[in-house]
Amino acid sequence: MKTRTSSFGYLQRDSFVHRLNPLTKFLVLILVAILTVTLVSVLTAIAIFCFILLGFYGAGIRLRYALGRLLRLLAFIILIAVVQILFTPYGSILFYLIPTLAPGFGPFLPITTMGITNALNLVFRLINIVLVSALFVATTDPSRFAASLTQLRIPYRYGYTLVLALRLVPLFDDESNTVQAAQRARGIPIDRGIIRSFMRRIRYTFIPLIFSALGRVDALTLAMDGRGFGFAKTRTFLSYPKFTAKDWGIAITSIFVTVFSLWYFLFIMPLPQLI
Amino acid sequence: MNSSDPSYYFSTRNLATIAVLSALGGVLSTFVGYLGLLLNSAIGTPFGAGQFLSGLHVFWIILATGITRKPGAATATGFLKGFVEFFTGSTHGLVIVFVSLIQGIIVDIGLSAFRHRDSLPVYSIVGGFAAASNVLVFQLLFFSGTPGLFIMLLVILAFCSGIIFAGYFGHATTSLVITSNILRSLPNGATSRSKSLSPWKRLGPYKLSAIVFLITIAFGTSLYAVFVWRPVIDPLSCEVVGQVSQPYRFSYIAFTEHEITIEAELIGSVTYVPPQNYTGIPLSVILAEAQPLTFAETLQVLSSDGFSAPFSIDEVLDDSEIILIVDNGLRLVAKNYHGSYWVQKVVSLVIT
Amino acid sequence: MSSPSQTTLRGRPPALEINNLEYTYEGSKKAALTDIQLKIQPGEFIVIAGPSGSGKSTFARSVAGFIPHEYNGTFQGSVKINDQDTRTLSVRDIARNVSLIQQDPDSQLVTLKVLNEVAFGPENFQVPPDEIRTQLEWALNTITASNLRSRSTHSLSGGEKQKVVISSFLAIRAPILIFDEPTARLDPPTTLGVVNTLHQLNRSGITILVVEHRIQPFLTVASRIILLNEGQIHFDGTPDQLQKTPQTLTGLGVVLHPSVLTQPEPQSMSVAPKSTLLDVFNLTYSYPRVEEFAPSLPALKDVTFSVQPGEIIAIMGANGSGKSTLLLHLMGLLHPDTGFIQLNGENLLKQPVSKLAQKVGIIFQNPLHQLFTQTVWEEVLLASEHLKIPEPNVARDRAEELLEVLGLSNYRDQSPFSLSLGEQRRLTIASILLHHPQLLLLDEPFIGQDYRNVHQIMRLQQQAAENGAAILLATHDASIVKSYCHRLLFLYAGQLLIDAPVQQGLDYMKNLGDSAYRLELNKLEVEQVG
Repeated sequence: MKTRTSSFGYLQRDSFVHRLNPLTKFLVLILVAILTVTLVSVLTAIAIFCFILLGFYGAGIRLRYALGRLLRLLAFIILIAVVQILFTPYGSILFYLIPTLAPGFGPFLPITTMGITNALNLVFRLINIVLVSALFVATTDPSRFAASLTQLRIPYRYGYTLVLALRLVPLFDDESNTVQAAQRARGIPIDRGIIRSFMRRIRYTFIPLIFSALGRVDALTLAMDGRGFGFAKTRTFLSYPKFTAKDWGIAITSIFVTVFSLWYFLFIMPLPQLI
Repeated sequence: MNSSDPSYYFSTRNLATIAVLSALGGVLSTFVGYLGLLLNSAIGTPFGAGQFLSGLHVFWIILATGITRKPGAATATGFLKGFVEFFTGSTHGLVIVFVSLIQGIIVDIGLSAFRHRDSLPVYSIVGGFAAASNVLVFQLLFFSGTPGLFIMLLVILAFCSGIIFAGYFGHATTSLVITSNILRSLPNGATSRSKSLSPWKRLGPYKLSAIVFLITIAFGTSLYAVFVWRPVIDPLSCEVVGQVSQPYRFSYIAFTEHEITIEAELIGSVTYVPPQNYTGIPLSVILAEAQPLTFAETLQVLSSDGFSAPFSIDEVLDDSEIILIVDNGLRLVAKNYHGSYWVQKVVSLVIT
Repeated sequence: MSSPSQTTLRGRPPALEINNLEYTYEGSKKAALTDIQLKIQPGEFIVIAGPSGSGKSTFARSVAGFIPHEYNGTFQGSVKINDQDTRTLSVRDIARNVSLIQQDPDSQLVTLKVLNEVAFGPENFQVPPDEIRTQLEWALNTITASNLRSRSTHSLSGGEKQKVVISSFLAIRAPILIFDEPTARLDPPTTLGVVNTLHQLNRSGITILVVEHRIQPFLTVASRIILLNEGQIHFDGTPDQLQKTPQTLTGLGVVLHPSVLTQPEPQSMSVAPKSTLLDVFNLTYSYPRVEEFAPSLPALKDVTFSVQPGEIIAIMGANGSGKSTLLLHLMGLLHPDTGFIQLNGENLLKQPVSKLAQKVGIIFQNPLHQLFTQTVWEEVLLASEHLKIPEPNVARDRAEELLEVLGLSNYRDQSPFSLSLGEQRRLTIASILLHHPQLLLLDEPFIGQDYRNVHQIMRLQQQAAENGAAILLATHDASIVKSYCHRLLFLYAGQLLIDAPVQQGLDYMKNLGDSAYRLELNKLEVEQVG
């Protein structure tokens, strides 16, 4: 049986992580991102990495789901590493990439311990952000996330703008495929003359989709106002994600851990840079 | 049943427009990414050329602003588009929300600096800055220490892309949308928009000053980002300051030619390390580089944890067996001194 | 909790009262509605019909209060709902009394889950959650959509989406419902289903207004029919009165009986075909599933047929029976799971689509997805620019001719996006006829076309057929099929059930026992005899 790839990264499961309130998960996501960016050290990066792996395990989501993403970023990861290794002139020199070619000429491009450390740090930073984001997306139903925004006192009309945008995504995915098909059916080659036809391809893809999408605005407006959208500043909800004791526990613990780590590592005990 | 109808800053129509364009922008970002890969492979670079398309991400923000004509629409569109990409599984994860939000904020700030004049040059400049911002965000996060020249090149590439795709393409599409009857109900004033596509000559002094202001801000930001901001400070460096004529930041790598090896024995109150070889750079060399003033007497060697040890300047300058070595950062090896003088994690040398 | 019953509403003031309504859109010189005078009692079932541009949609929006609140324009006269002037109420207050259900369900679904969608209205009106649950169950049950409750909105089929949209408005429990062209894209059986649903709602006491092109399916259930022309009320009476005075319909483009066309029946193919143009062998295809508990999407099962040059072939079948899927295969845009397709004896599936475009042309249902250029003129010439056929001079002459025939000459330098949907559809037809492809695939080209345009479109197809092309035409309109096509293919759930000459094919369809088709076809025959 063929299965169409879903428009969203959400994977429906019944796990501890899935059941958490989306806001709790979002808080943890933000905190992990903050720690990842502020604590520059291979050791903390590995600690955060392990924490994320634990999350994947708890959510019952195979790491392969996230590895796919990382693979698509492989070129970017290599770029980050190469830039650091080549352009960090600090640290003990391990060897030169280009040895002395002639007396007085070379050596060039020293590979240093610091370069390698920096590369490790930044690659880990990317991997951690990508993985923790993937974990959040895989375990959070976007419509539940949007519904929970009202608990943050965000006016529901804005929360529902996000819902509407997400609802339109699968529709526009289909339309985008249709437009690409229509181009081919009109004899517009998509696989040749890349540079020459670049601007044209963008225009031929963007313009039909924009017009077909904007053509829906009028009907959408009437369909929303016609069902009382904005009738009052607040509204009721059939149901929305509740905060459980677990949510409170996790939220408070993670805030505590974050504040402590920042305080400890930034002011008390500077982090070792080398492994 | 009474007519309660609250009034809102964004009408339902505005919100629907923003949602539609963010969703489409999010969906098409995959297509843009794919085009970027094509471009890279066509030009023969593994990366970088894709920046030429970065304006296509700002395009949606400009278009939403051009259609709704409400300050704040750009920020909302940027934020929402970022979230759409996030939930559809953008490989960059949360970073994309951040990047997109910043682009939206820049468009909003830029347009209000120009009093929301929806002319081509305004859209182009604002689009250019917004597009270029993504390079700086990525530089801050993942490419610290990259030579400024490369970053500037990418910034310029992204800026041009913003002018072309966000500015020109965005402006032309806005006009196309507004002149067609696709939206049916037009916001007030939208029908009386200027038709000319190149009113450069109508640039008044106000606009020029706004341009100069924005350029300065952007230039300053990029300079700061490229040359000053270093999220990863070289831990094998320390500052040399105080009563010296040339205060500087000592960097180990720059002094490797002065490396010497000595044999020393650490005798501390608790610790003892038998004689062994240490390789490092003599403190005398490091201090000489700073040219201590003649009346300077003391050298304080400060550790990152706040610990410090005092030395006599003259003794240090004469003693070639006090060296800074690489060991979990910079560490002082002072052969003929007590173990408590062997300062770890040296961050600064203060001459008084 | 029961729906508002008819008895409680009787004897009240009119549900709706319109006095001297005149409305002109901003920027338009001509009034969209003039001198509308109307009283509607609670519990009526009214069909409002009229040709394109007669003001039907404007009327619907005025009744629902979106005019004047959401549109800039000049509004005169008054619309009163339960004795309250719409101008003194807010759009959202009006929405508690009047629901306007528009045509395209995809542009009305605003959430990701069916339950959230149906709860959307009551939630906005601050109904307590327990009450929402009751209303939601009632709304889903009323239109037999309870089975959809836990689905994602995007995984639904077109018909299911429409059901969900209707129940999302029902959940508000407004006493007046307006439906804008609820059956425009539906096949005859589904149309009957919708008509029955509306009838049921009406019997439970809800006032129903249906804005439609086709009056026919509603004749038995409507209590009153209003015809609009040029923004004015042209006729206002019972279905019986309308049928007694058919002359009221002339010139309105409104179809009472499907076969008002007087086109002589096409001659059957007399010339013995030399070789086939297209051969389709055992085509089988299934769509990937969108979500776990969604039913398997429409597919093709073992479809085999051949097409001779010069044939005009109708493809009929219910929504989701595989008509569009088949056409996409013939353009090489979908590849079958098993089976193969030959064009002129060559394997069609091995050719790149952009090459195949020289020989095959397709138009999709939504014209917006296939318009690319800045002007109508460039759009017509686009294919020749890429395919290098025909010669530029020839192409320009041909383009002039096509625009002329399809009534688009005046729009030459306009953006394709400024045209109406019907005009856009004709433009896409012009753009695939330019380079004389051998095989033309048209998916529902007649939506939004009046009968003059239908005739022009089909004349062009006949010309193409005379030049040796073959045309495959997916449509629900039996009268067009009867007037212009040689042969009929009928798909049922992806299987090719009928492949026969048109008259014979229509007879078979009748015998299949599909009551809805029988209804349409009986009408056809009555007309034919008369």
